[in-house]
Amino acid sequence: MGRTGRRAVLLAALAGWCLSLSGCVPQGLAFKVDERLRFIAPEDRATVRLPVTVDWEIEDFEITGPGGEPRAGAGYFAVFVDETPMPAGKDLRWIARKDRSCRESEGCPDEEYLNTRGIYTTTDTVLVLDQLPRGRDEDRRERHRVTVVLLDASGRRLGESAFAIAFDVQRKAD
Amino acid sequence: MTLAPQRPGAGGPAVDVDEIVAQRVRLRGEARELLGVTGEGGPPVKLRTVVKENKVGFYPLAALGTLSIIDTFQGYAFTVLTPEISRSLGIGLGTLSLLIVLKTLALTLAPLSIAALVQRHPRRALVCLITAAGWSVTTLYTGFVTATLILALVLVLDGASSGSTTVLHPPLLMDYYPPATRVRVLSIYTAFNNFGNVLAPLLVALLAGVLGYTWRGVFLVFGLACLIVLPFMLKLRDPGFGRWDTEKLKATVHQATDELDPDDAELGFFEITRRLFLIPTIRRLLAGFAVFGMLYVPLATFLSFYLDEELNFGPGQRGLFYALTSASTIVALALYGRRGEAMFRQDPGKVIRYAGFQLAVGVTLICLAVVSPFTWLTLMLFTLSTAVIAVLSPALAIVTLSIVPAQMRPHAGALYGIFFGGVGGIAGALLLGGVQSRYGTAGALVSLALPGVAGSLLLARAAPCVQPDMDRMIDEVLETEQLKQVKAAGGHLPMLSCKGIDFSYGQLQVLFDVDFTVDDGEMVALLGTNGAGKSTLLKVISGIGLPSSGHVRYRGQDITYLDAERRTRLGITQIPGGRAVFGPLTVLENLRSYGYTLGKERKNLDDLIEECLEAFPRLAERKTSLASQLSGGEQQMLGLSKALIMRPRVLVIDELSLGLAPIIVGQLLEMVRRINATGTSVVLVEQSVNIALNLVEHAYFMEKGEMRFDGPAADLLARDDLLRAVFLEGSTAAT
Repeated sequence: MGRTGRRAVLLAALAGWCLSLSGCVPQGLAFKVDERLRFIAPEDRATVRLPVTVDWEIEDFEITGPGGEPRAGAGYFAVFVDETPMPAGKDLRWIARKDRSCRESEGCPDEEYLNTRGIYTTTDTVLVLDQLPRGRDEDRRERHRVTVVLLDASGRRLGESAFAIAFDVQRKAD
Repeated sequence: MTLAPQRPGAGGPAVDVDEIVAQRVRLRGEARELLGVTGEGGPPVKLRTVVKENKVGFYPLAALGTLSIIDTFQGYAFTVLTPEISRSLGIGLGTLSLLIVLKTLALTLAPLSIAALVQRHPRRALVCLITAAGWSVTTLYTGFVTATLILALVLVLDGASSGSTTVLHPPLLMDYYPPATRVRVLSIYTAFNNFGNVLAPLLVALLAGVLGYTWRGVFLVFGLACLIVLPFMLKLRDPGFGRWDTEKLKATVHQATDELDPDDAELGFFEITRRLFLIPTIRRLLAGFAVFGMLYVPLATFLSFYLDEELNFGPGQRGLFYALTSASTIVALALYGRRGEAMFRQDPGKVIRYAGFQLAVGVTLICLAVVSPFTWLTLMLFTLSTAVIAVLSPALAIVTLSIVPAQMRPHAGALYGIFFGGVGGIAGALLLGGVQSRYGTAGALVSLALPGVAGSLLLARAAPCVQPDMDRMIDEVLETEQLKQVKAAGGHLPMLSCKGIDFSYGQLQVLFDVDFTVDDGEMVALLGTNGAGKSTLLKVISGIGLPSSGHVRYRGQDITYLDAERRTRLGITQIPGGRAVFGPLTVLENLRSYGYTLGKERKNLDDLIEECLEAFPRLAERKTSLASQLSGGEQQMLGLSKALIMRPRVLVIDELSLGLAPIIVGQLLEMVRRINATGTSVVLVEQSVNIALNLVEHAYFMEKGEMRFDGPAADLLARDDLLRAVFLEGSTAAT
């Protein structure tokens, strides 16, 4: 077998290894963009004033709210303002995983705990943000990012879909 | 001057070094031409013509260029899709930044191990293919990552495999293509890479924006694309080290292969790296690379922020802008290729001076772009600056790789990567990050003027060193080959020779063009006043100090940059001046410690120790005493026992008699005579002229770092001008 032949065998072995790796691929990975949710307001990268109304619409998703039997395609929303959402399959307790006092308190994280961290749960498709944290440099543009993820009835994140929008806030005092 | 005058014990005809030097000067011009430096102006011969004449074809360039294109995929996709990955996996930006740092570290450090992997055997093409397969698989697998730890692993693997492009591709191209085409070849290769920078954003935009793939889908497609391309690269073969230059340089000296085995003195990885740092141009260029990296590495990121914040460009517009600027760099490289080739042919230093000028122009354009009131003008100036700066890559690469022998090029490439991406990139990110938090992105971009100007000055400083360093490299290769030829023809080479040694402690030069020779079985004295440089010369011989120029040859092989411990294994042993013993160890433990370098002979250590104790009965009496409790004479006996155990081919003894009673000195000198009588060459460094000259027939005399006398010992005694001020008085204690 020539050198090219040996290299071809090496490559084939690599390809085989890749295929075997794909056998270990977890289920439910999203390779195509989820387009069920669409933001109505504000426009992406728009400049807005407080309070900001974030409005969206969704298809093929039944808004049932928390409680009941968890199933795909039904549940409610979690909105993260300037925060990274939890991974797929995790519930909101994941947010407080590093907060020992919260972990040891019954009922934590509650709504107040989450709201102070810019996280909101809702069954509505509109969320009004009265206050947003100020940027460090007041002379610079104050950009915020809102991310909506879908939760099932038990509060776990449904799939990897995350829908995000960014906007700049101009304070009234300016 | 002869390398080996007919001294007792010398065999074969003497070698006339002056003749060798004269021949080398004749060959140097020819060698420069081989390296593509003809000194002529005017346009170079057409690339296609040279490639056709030399039957090298464009396949290697196309293959390596294509690999460099697909190498951009993973990195670019990760950069662009970071927010989506963050939201999908629930990984915060802080963690993601840490992962990117990990990848950068792998990308920076992996080239070192890749260089080490290929330094002895020309298997660079194979390593290129394996690493390309590596990054193809990791790109593909990135699409299946679900946890932070796996993502970290994937990024590190990708960084490690991508490191091969910096360290292997340019040296391979240098060996595939003749010197007359190299600037153009490297420019075209850089253009391929920049085309990757056009293609990758467009593909990301197409896949994510138009076709609706998530980040996972994008990585999946990119990984598959890489794997599909790979089979077309399977015909890549390593052309061998220095096919067009180093090997041809050697061939100008002789055509026949010699029978000497150079393996014993072949430099290891760290020795090569250390040797590269001793080349003035490399030092200056590495500093230049670091400053260039400070400017270039964070530029794209901060430019992205600037476009986003100041010009309100979305991801699509930014991608398009980057595609446009990358396309402009391809045009710039196409224009530069022939011009750069002509400059290099005329004077390689000119290439560096011009690169410094381009860097200054590039940063000026960036500053103008930031202050420009018109968006179209800003974009145009940014595009122009990117194009101007892009041609620095082939310019710096051709000079860096041309002044080092072919086998050291991967190491030079690795150092380039470390200083450019590691040192420069990290320093740049810190600098620009700090400036941005205070003055905003525009301020950060304007602050690039600082490293830009510093880089220009560094490059300007490097320019005058290029030609001398290239000549030094030529001389190094030629001299080695000439000596091999002499040896192969039955000529006699000295056991140890130092030639043209310069040595500095920091900025203070202490040795100046020192020549020194010891023949097989010969005993020579090295004399001189305090501070004359004797001990420094011994350090150079034993490898504790590395000269800034000149060569040390041992049995015909260049050992100038070999580590001290390897020289010991080859048979050079030094007994340092003063108390050359381990004070906290007993006499027996000291003797045993000398046996650690014996290798297979260690099994005879007990017999050898017994011989030492017989030779020095005083040591036998005190064998359980701590060495620190021995008298000065006993300590020197113990030190000298090193020679009895290690049985070196060359024994270097520093200040044997200093502060000892005459009767002890007599015993020690008798032992030195016995060691010499067994065939060991001895270099005796002494301040006591009488002691030295009673023992040797050949002497050297050093003063103020220069060799002032080289001849028969008896002749030195007649040189009152040298000896008067020094030592004759008070040195009658000998024999």
